[in-house]
Amino acid sequence: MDTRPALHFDDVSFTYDGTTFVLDGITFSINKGSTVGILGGNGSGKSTFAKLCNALLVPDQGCVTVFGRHTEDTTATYDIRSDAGMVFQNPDDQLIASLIENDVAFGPENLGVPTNQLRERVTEALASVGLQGFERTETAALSGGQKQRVAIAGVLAMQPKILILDEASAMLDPQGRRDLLDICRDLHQQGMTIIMITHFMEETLDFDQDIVLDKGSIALSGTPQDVLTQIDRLHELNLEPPFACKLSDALQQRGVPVHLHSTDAGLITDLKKLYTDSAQDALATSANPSMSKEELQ
Amino acid sequence: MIEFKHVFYSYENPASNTQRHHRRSKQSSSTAATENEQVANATWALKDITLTIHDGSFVGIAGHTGSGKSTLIQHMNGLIHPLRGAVYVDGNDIAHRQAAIDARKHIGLVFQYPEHQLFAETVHDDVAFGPRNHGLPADEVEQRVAEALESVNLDPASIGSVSPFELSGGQQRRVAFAGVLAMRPDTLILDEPMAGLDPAARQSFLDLIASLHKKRQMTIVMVSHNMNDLAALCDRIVIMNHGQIYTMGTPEQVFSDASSLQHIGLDVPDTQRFVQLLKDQGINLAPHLYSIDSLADAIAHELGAASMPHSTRQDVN
Repeated sequence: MDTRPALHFDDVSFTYDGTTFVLDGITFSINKGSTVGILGGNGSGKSTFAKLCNALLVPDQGCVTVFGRHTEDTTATYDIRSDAGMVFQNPDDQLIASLIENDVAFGPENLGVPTNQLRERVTEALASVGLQGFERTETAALSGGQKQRVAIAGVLAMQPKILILDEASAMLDPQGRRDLLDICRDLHQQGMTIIMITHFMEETLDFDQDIVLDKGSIALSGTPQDVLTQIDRLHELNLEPPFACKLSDALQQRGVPVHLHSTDAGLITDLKKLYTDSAQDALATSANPSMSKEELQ
Repeated sequence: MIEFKHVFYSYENPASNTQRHHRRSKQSSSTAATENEQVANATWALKDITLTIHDGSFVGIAGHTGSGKSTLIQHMNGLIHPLRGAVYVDGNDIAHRQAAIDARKHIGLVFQYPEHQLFAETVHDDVAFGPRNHGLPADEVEQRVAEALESVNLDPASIGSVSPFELSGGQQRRVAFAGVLAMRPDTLILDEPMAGLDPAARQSFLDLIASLHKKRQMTIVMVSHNMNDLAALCDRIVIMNHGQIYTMGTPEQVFSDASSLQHIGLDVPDTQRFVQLLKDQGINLAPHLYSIDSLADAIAHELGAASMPHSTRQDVN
């Protein structure tokens, strides 16, 4: 059993121009098999963070390790990139072949996977993203959401342990976005570590951990329930709190005794309980004849 | 005013299909496909669309990918023409070349990810491209560039000489937007103007569009997947499904019943989704289009009304 963290940032700083630090002294660990949301507005350092995860960039200070391997160790780059697969924002930028099977096979083929296993890998990867039987379809004929699923399949065919999604849902329609999240949930069930970089808070509601970046530093970190209910802080960070949080805040202001919730389900549970209690109170009141008389007068 | 009258459009040409059909059927000596068969057999991207966009209105268009939204808006300034039916702009059928040219002068179309179309070396030249192309005199061009950049909250003096490619995504989109505004359109057609922007950039872009509508009385047609935005801004909403109008009306009419849109797999505004969740739990609120505040009021009222009759009545009064 591998007990090393899937990903560890130790006091990591990075600068593109030598003067402004895009990331400034970031330290945190992501456990194997966990789901983590990396949130932040434009310019918060999210995308730089993503590129540091699989040695597309190496830190100027501090170090990044992927299952214990240092990203600045160039002899480990190969292994790191096969462990940590990345999906980017624009599906059109990521597909390179005209047939889906060729596109999905590209990664593993380059890793030297024998031809007889390639077929199996492609079939499995396509099944994982709900595109079984699409091997011979042309990539050009797909919708944005389908293309993004092919991009994910291409990464899965390399059998990574960590899947990093860098705003992978930003250009998708609501259905495409839901499909993408469903795929991530399935992969997580199978033990995949998921790192989702996004500015849609709602996408990370059922994750294990959320990290909010601001100007290259960690502004907030914790469970989504803890992070996403800090309504004032999120507004300061130019982020939009989830709907349930805004509504529970509005209800609290009106004296309705609910907790601040990040999810619809949590708030519904509170309201349901209040409603049942109040209905029983009302029943008790109407069952009490003396009370009713008073009311009549 | 933009009017669609029984508009049909197909990306495959059904007439040529029919001809093929015809030739084949001749060989088998049967009759040619009738017009009705032609309509039935084609794959229509738009099918019998009739709608009117009044001057000064704010119309939202929503629907799945592939529902015909983009095809619909490309008809509005004559980029594509109906195969059947007609589109009239201010009473003129824009299937006629001159009418389409006239329409384009006052109807600005902003495509998805308009920043992908930036090309000039400086922000100034990019925004000036349209007015120059229309042969306007130099001083008029300068004035329009300055005015357009100011209306998207960019400072012409400091940003004019910068390469558009050095700007952030949100700023690039503003520049592309300014390029359309420099033509001084009275109608703006926007295809998912907020797609891919972060929450802060989204909000400022929404504010910008709302102010163009309110302050300059511009007619706005906005395609969006974000039902919260549509509910907040639009006078009327058109929901497209399989190339047809699924439903059309005020936000109140379209969103009051969440289940009908959820039925075709579309999102509804967050508030309406929550009302539906409450309903599933036996908590029934009056059908209505809610904002977060009015929804909180209604829930507080509903809970209060059941538990504390006296205090609630006072609260409501």
